Amino acid sequence: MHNLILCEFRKFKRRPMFLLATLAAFVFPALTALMYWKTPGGQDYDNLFSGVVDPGDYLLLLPVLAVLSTTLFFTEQDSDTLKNLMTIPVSKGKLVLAKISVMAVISVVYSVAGFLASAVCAKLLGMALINMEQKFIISLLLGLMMLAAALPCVVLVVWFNKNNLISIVITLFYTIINYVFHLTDLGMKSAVGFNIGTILPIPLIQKWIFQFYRPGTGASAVFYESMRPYFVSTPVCIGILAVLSGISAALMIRIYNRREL
Amino acid sequence: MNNLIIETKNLTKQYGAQKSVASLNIHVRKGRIYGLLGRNGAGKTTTMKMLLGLTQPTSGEVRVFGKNIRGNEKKILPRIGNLIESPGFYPNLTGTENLKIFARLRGVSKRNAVSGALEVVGLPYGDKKLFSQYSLGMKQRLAIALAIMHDPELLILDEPINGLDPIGIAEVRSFIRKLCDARGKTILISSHILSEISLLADDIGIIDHGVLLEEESLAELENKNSKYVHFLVSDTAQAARIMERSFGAKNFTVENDRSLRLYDTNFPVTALTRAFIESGLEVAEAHTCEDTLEDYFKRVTGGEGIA
Repeated sequence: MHNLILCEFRKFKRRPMFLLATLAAFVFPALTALMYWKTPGGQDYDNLFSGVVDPGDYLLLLPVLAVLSTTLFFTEQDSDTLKNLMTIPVSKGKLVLAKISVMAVISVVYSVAGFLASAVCAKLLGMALINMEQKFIISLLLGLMMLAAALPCVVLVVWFNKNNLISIVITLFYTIINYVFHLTDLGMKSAVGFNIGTILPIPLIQKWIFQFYRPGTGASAVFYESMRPYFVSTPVCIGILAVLSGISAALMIRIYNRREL
Repeated sequence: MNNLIIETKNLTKQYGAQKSVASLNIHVRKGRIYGLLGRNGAGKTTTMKMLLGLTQPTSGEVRVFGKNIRGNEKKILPRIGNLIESPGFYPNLTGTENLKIFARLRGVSKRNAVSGALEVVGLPYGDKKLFSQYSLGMKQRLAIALAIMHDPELLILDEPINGLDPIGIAEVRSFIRKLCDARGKTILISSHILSEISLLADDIGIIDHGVLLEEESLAELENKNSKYVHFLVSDTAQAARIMERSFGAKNFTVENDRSLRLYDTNFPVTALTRAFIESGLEVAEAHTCEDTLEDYFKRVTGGEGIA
């Protein structure tokens, strides 16, 4: 399996996708730092970190992963190399898992790079770097959670078997739906159960990560308290996303297996 | 029959109502080159895909190395090298980088396996040229290198000379022959180019519209080709009368008013020619002919020739 994963990375040689995905992690820390630079005072590193995670992961990482998946999953189709792999033989199931593993690595690298970039920006702004270990672990977990969040979208992309316009439309639609619901009471103020706030991964992740932010003062503290009953514990969040990932991976393998050369 | 490396039993592939391959029974013997000959769309590639387990048959069975391919892929496929349809490689990588990926996945332990395979097909090792910049001939050579890199016992090559220039074709032909003769490899090769198959194959299977029409050794096939004496005369009607009445010949055909064929090659042609001339006929030609493989192909497929 590790050979398969290594080879998946080698297929990226001379393709700037991996580098661009990592560089994208620096976009929102830089923008957020710039914003705080112009309105100094009253902001701490927690605010900056959450300001990076929200748009950086939910709005950028999700589509980055989905677009990356089109490159990963259609490489064999576009290069006509699947027949070479099948006659080694490499099982389609393992091939799908190797590609998901590559996405996991990129997602974690992106998330951790975003955390490091936010720390550098905070330092430049003179903020105290607090709870760094916790934020690092959150970033690691967030990387894996974002992968789980992207997988249902990847299933659709693979199912539609297109690597052009339809993939982009699916990705945009999925990202926007997730993002919009994580801003609404419908998505956020719902306990874990069969509801939109649990089924859509971004509202679920937001309900998990929110408990690690500081309540703040004034309106911010009131909002934090109103959210407290809906916080999702780490095991529950990981459990739900693991089930989602498992179903998505199984569907991808099934779609791949049913496709004849 | 235990020296069969490939054996199919009533192998059938159906797409909707159309049978791409119908009840195919081929037998590839150990250490031989088997040429699967057929026009484009005859079912050669589909057959090869089924042999490799890339496509599941609608019915029938594929036995390779004495085992059913289905369920034994992990044991059988590492012993096979293949080239199916067009060469498939990653366009952003060089030829060497591409082969290294597949060598790693195949678990090829021999250190110089990649460089050795490239050398055999005449491609440079460590070249910076990307696969996307390769010519069709270079792509085909790389695909052959991939097929032989792990030193397989059996090679399944689908139209391996596609895109090669005449020198390349001769090189590949001689290389394939050498693999079989010197190293005892078994090779199944498909082509729509009849001359290639006749130059290379020991055994030939003729496939048309998914049906295997003939399966014989080249020697047997050549023996089957009919020989005849061809006469070009001024009046075939008169010539036919002479052949029948004076020589008792029955086995001949009149092609047109100037040409006729006598299928008994033991006939006294000199005496016959003299008789024609003495009876006032002009004889422009009288020589022994043999059907080409293409004529034979036309006859068994009941249609037009092949390239």
